[in-house]
Amino acid sequence: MITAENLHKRYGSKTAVDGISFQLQPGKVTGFLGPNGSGKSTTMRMAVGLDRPTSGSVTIDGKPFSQHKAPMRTVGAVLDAGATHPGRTGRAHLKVLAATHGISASRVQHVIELTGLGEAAGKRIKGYSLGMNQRLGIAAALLGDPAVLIFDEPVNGLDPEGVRWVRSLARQMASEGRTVFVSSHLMSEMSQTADHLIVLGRGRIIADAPIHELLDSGEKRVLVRTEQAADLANALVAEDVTISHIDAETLQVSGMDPRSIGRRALEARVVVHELTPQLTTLEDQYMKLTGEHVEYRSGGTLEEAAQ
Amino acid sequence: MNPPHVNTATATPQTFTIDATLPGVSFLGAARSEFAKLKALRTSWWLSIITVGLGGFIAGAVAFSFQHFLADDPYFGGGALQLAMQGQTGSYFAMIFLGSLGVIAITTEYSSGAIRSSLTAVPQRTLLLSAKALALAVWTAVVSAVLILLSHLLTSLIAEPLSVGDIFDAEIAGVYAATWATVVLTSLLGFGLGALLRSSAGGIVVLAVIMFVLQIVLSILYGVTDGAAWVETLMQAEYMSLVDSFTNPEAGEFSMVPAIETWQAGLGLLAWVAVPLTLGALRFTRRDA
Repeated sequence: MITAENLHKRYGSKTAVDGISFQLQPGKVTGFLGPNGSGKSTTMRMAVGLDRPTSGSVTIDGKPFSQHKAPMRTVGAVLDAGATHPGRTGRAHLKVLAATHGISASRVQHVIELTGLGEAAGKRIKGYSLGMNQRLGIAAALLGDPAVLIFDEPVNGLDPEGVRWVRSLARQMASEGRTVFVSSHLMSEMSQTADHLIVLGRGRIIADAPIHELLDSGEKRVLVRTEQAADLANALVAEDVTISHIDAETLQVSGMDPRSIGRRALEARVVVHELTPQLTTLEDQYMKLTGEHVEYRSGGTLEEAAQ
Repeated sequence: MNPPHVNTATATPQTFTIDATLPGVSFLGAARSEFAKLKALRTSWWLSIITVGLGGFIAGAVAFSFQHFLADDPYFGGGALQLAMQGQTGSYFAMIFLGSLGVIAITTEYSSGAIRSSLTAVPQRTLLLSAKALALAVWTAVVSAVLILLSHLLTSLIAEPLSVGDIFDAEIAGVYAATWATVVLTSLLGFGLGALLRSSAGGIVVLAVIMFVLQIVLSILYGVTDGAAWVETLMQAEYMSLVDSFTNPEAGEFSMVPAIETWQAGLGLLAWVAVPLTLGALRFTRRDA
């Protein structure tokens, strides 16, 4: 369990984390979501004692991380790919870490197989791809079979198979009763992995809720395709229903669920060839939540910039 | 009948518990890990091989020239102790090479980013730094012992009047032990500088300044001030002068300022090493990694 209490971090005059408090529960994947520069990595670094809080505290099971007798069995953290010596082999890196806690060579071999490092474990880290580095980082985090896992942007650089693997790993770890804390700047990533979300913007928490709550609070929209778009639009008109025409055959309807739309279409004798609940609401929610909190915003279109 | 609905988000989760019987972090484990890091670092091997190779070469060259002088002039005033000390000239190079290894042993963690992995495995920073220092000391102790023994072997086999068995002579053994200690201490000095400056180049340059530049500057100052007493004190407290006073029983015979007692020199060397090491440790334990 990770607990943050009124956590602050300033670097010189810049405030990276501005008084956040949260409590992460075991058995759940908690997503830590926010734009780049919102303070996610800093918070995670403070959780494992790499950075000192300017004020406030962050503890693991009630104690600062550095006071635990078996840190690697308490927390496994993947903070950035490449926190390794490039001249060492992957296996040497894992063995060096394992030695600190008297972790056996068979466990080292086990995490190498588990993370799919395989042959690469015998090669120098210098030649690793970003994806390989991520796998090595995850292998290192799993070495101690820890109760808490902290992954900072774990899918960066992974191929689609790797991304799926990280998701199922996070889910599996949580199902075993571990506390899993995963950061991302992509809402779509979180919507597939997390049970609970903490959304950060400019060093402050702007949402801390179960993911289904955030989903439910969003507007529901349905994409409808039909050759008789105009007829259907007329049939659907009602209070609280918003209809936008995407193109000649496509409507986006909000304020009405797919079942009702289908029924109306039957009544109006309109043939519908697609009826899709829109799953992007979480993304929209996220954009809405963080809209005022992004630090770096795209400054306009390229055409504007060229002028 | 509907199947029971399981919702991972609301189901009461079990909590994973750590097996308390498994070992936690230990100083010995951390030291073993740090030693393995040194072993895996190519620079360690290169610097150590150069140290031993160059030291052996110098010992051989010294022995041959000693033998040469002795053949020309049978009254050439070199005893076994003289020859033994000359044969260890390679230890000066050992000091700069293994001192640089001391710097690199810590700065490489910062330049590579590996420090973040190290600190998430061992967040007890004082423990990590001490383990690192111990591993380095063990490594340099072994390398310099090999260097000293090899140099002794070469000198005693090539030249008279030193014989292999003279290593058990109290005075000669004393010189060797003191030389051995200064090499290990200098590597720790480098380590302290590395922890303090977090830069390989910076640490090695400062080490070189301490070893080679300070004495030149002080000698010039000594001349300029016409041999002022305070400059003399500084010269005696200067690092390489302390090394000389500590390792050479005949120290001061050919130098500008008189040598100080061996124990005083030993304390002086410890102070030289302790200051950057303490400051480096303070920085290491307080700063963000």
